[in-house]
Amino acid sequence: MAQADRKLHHLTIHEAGKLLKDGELSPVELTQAFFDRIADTDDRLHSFITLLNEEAMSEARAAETEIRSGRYRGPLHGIPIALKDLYDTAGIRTTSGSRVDFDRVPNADSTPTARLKEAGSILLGKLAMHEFALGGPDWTTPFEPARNPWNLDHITGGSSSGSASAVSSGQAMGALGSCTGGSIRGPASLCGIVGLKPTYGRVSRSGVVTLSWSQDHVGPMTWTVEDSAYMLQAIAGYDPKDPTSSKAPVPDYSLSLREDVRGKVFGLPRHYFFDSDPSVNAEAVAVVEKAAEELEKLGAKLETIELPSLDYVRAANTIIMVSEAFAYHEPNLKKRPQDFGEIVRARFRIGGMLSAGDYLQAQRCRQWSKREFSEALRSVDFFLTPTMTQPAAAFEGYDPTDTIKGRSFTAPFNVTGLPAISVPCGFTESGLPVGMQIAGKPFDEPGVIQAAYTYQQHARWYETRPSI
Amino acid sequence: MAEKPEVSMEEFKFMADRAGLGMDQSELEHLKPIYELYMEYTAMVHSINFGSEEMVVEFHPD
Repeated sequence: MAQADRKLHHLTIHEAGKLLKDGELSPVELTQAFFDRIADTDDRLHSFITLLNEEAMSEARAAETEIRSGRYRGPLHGIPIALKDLYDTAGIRTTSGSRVDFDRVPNADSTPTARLKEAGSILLGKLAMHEFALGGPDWTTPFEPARNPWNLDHITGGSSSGSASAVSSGQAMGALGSCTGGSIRGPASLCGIVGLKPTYGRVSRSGVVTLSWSQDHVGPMTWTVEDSAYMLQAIAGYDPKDPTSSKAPVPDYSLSLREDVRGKVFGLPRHYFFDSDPSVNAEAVAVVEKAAEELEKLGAKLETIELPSLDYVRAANTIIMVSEAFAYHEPNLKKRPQDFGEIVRARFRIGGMLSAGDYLQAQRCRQWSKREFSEALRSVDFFLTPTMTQPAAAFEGYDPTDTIKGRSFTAPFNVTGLPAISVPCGFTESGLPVGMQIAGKPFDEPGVIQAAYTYQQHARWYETRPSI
Repeated sequence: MAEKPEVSMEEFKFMADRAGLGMDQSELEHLKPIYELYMEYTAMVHSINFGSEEMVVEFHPD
């Protein structure tokens, strides 16, 4: 086969899909290659909470039979993927990374789980995560925190920690993360992969354990932009089981895999994302500045814009998040607080101590932001920013309260619900990945994908893999 | 953020009890400085004059 000189676990979904479709690669061989890779690396990475060897090999054999008999389902058919452990999986333990749900076995699949199954993907297992999608690496929970494949002494970011480490290290071709303040784009950026948070309502949250109803988003994490497009295609669309699910038609995202940003205007809110601030790493920002210049060379227009509400969006995101989380987790938090890890127990309790006035002011702030961003998007096509304020921190000396201090570059797009992608755009001097964030108009996933794809194909950072 | 907001232990305990959290003294002492970080955020959203700004409504009666 053409890819014989490359390890199977380093194929992209796009590459493997072609081989699978043409019968040049067997889903069984591919799936086994990923379990071999997991066996070789997961004692160091701790990406997985649950492995589904028997089930996955059985699914792979079924996919092989289907493809051979001419019933090819599409780009995910026979593709080994994994799920953050808050996606309900029928008959399979779903822990949310917590002792609270240590033995919870759902009766039904979440809608995204079911849709990925329908697309023919192979579920390798359930992935590590920050407890209930909040906080940081916490040794008081039952599961070892995932480690960053680019430097095992560093965190992955979160909360989709295992999703990022698994995709980055070649343990899975793609994964789903979930995102309330940046939990898809953040770890994607810190682990050198692509993370796509779609528009609020684009992907059903039904059967996905809640952190904050009004800010939770579901989305893919993959090695390349095109792979995220394929995964989004499979999971997007209306679902009557999610009251916030949108009925907007789902376009063909593969049509956006074109290299063209000519004439597109990228708004850079420099006052918040690029200017000097104690919470922001200047080296990482400089990497993103350079990436923006590359887009300009490709025909994009860069425009500095002002969004005054940004200074308050982090506050709104945080207040809404912990207030809604408390409402959801209140019964367990009161009955069995000892089963929560230290970080999450503290933050959920704080959610119970905030007032209705705090919550409503935060929601009003959100509305202000939403309107302001919407007005800005009349004159620009996209927002372009660094994805994270810092590269991946070291475990040693890590302070979990750092995640609630300073600026957040991802939260503005959870608060406003706008689609946003993180695409790798380089490395720091110490070899840690840096991501560029591109956000767009509501339901303009096609535009966001095309812009990120154009940059990716030009910069080709996907050619560099971590050495683990 | 100019001044770091603070809350007295008495007031903090009152809020924790009102929320029904049932925390002992050591838990209260652990949580109070973290709560004070969040107070910076609540102070920020209360510092804005929103005028007639509505809150986000996600509820759709259909």
